[in-house]
Amino acid sequence: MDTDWRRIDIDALEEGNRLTAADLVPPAEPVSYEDVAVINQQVKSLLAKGENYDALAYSLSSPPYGGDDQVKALHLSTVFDILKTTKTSSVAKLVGELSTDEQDVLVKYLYKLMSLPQGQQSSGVLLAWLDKVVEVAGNGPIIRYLNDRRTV
Amino acid sequence: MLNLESSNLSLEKTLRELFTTEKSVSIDRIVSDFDNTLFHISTPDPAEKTKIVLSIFLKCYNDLVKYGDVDSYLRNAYNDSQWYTVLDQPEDGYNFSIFIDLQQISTTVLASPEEMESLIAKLSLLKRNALAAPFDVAFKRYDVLAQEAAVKNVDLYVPEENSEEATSVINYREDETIYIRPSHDRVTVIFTALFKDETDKIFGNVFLQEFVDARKRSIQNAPQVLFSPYEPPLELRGLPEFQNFNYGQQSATSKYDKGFVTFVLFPRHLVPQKRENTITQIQLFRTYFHYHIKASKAYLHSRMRKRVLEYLKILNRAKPDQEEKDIERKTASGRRFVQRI
Amino acid sequence: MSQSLKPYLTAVRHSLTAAVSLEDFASQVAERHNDPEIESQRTPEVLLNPMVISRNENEKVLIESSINSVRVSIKIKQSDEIEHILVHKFTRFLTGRAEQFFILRRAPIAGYDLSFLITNLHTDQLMKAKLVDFIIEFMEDVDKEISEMKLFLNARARFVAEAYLTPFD
Repeated sequence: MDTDWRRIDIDALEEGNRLTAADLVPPAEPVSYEDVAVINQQVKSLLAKGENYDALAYSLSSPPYGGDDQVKALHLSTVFDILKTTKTSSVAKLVGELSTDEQDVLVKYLYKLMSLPQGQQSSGVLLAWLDKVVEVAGNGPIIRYLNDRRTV
Repeated sequence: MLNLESSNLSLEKTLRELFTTEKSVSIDRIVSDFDNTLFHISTPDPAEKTKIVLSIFLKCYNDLVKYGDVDSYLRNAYNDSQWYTVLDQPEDGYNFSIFIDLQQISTTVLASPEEMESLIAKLSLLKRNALAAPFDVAFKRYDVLAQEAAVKNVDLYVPEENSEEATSVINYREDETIYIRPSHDRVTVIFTALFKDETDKIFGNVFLQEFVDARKRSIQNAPQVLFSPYEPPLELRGLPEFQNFNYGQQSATSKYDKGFVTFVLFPRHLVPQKRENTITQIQLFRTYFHYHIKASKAYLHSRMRKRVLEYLKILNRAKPDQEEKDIERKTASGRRFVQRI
Repeated sequence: MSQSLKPYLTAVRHSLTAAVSLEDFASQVAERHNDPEIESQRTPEVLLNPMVISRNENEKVLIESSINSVRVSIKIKQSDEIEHILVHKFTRFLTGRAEQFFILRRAPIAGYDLSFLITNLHTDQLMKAKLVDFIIEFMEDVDKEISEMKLFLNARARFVAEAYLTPFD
C-alpha cells in the first residue's frame, strides 16, 4: 500500500451530498436584456416627468434575479439614477410609501452600490437613503438582505 | 531639550572630575561624539599622573586640512592659554593633541571656578572648533570677494553663472557631505540628507518643508533654506561626482534617497560678531535634524501606546459584571459544593 | 466632512447589529471541530451575503457574516504619505496586541487596514450592544487620532525650525 491514504480528500472524490454556492440560489425565471432596457426607458421618462415615486416603485417591483451580469448591471444603473435624482427632502416620504418587499429590494441595491467604485463616489446619497429606510422599517430589511440568496 | 549643545558633555564631565579630584588618578578614556569623532583623554605616562593628553580624531580630518587648513587654525585657537599646549606631533591614531599639566594649573585655576569652567568649556569645544576651520576659510574668502565686488560695483544678489569659485567638500559622515561655497554677497552651505529608513524619509520631508517655510512665515532674518529632494542644486552641478547625473529623471524608489538642503547665509549672518555663532549653529544642523525626527517618532509611539490602552479599557467595558468565579452552593441535603461557571 | 460621518456611523451600527447574531455551530467538515465559518469557508450554506458600507472610496467597512462568526474589515482614510505611515504604525501597534483585544484579527483582509473577527464565544462573554458600540467608537476615534498626530507633527516641525533658525539673527 503505497498511497498516502490518510490524506485522501474523500469529500472531493465522493459524488453528491455537497452543496456549492450556486446550488443554494433559488431558481428564478430568466430575464432578458431587452426587458430590462424597456424598464430603463420607462423609468427615464417617469423621472423626466418628476414622478420619482412611480419610477422607484416600478424599478423595485421586478428586480432581475434571473438575469446575467449585464442585465443586472443595467438595472443597477437604472436604480442608481433614480436614487441620485431624488431630492433629499422627499426621500423619507418615498421610503415610507414603499411596500416591505420593495424596501428589501432597495436595501439590496444600496449595499450593492456601495461596494462598487462608482457608487462610492456618491455614497453620501446612498447613506442618507439607508438611514431613512432603517428609520422607517428597522433592521428587518438588512437582516433579510443578509440571508436572501437572490442577489441583484 | 530643544537645542543641542555643541560642546561634548562627556568630555566636560571627565575634565571636571580630573580638575577637582584631590588625588591624581591615571585615566584612559575614549569618548565618541557625533559625526564620527573620537576623543581620547589619557595619562600616557603612568608615572606622571598629572600629565594629561587630550586628542581628537575626526574621520574627515583630511578634508578639513585640505579645505580649512585646520591644523594651523586649531593651533591658533588653542595658543591663547598658558594652561595647555598643543603637541607638535598628535597622538598615534589621532589627528590633534593638547597637553595639560594638572600640577601647573591646579592652584591658580582651581581656585577660581570661572577660570576652571572657561578652561573646561574651551577644551570641550575642540570638535566644534575643528569643524569651524573650513567655514572660517570660506568666510574669509567671502570677505575678500565682497571687497572686490564693492570695488567693481557688482550687482548684489545676482546669481553667478560659471563662477570659478572653489567649493569646499567635507565628507563628515559616510554618505553625507557638506559643501561650502563663498561668493561675493553670500555664502552657500549645502548638506546632503540621507535617510536610511522609509518613515524617516517622510518625517524628514515634513520637517524640511517647515524649515523652508519658516523664513516666509515668521523669521525674516533667518538664512534662506532650500530643499531639493533628488537633484543637486545648481551650485553643485559643476562638481565631478555630479557630472553624470540624470537630470529631470526621478526614479520612484529613490525619491528621497539623497536630498540636498541648502542654506544661504546672507551678509547679516556673516558680520564678525555673528560669525562664530553662525558657524556653531550650522555645524549642528544634521545632528539636530535627525535628533528631532527621532524624538517625534518616540512621542508618537508613546501616544499610540496610550491610545491602545484606552481602547482596551473601552473593550473591557463590554464584559458584563462577573460574579465571583467560584460560587459556593448548597444542595437540599446540605452538601456544599463549588459551582464552576 | 462630519456631515457624512453621522449617517456613515449609523449605517455601520445598524448593519453590525443585524449581522452579529451568532450561535454555536459545530463544523460539518471535521468531526468535533468548531471553526469560525467565515474564516474556513468550507460550508457555503452557512455563509451570508457580505455588506459594504462606504463613505467614499478611501473609507469603507466590509462586514462578512456567517452563522457563528462575523468579520469586520475597516479601511481608514489616508490622504497623504504621512497619514499613510501613521495609519500603518498604528495598526501594527494594535495587531501586535491582538491577543489582549480578543476580537482583533492579526492580519487585515486584502484591501483593508484592520480586521475584527467576532465569534459566538465572544458574544457569549461580551455584551453585543457594547461590542457594537466599541467598534463604532473605535472608527470615530481612529480618524481623530490620526489627524491629531499629523497636526502635532506639523506643529512640532514648525517649532523645531523656528528654534533652529532664530539664533542666526
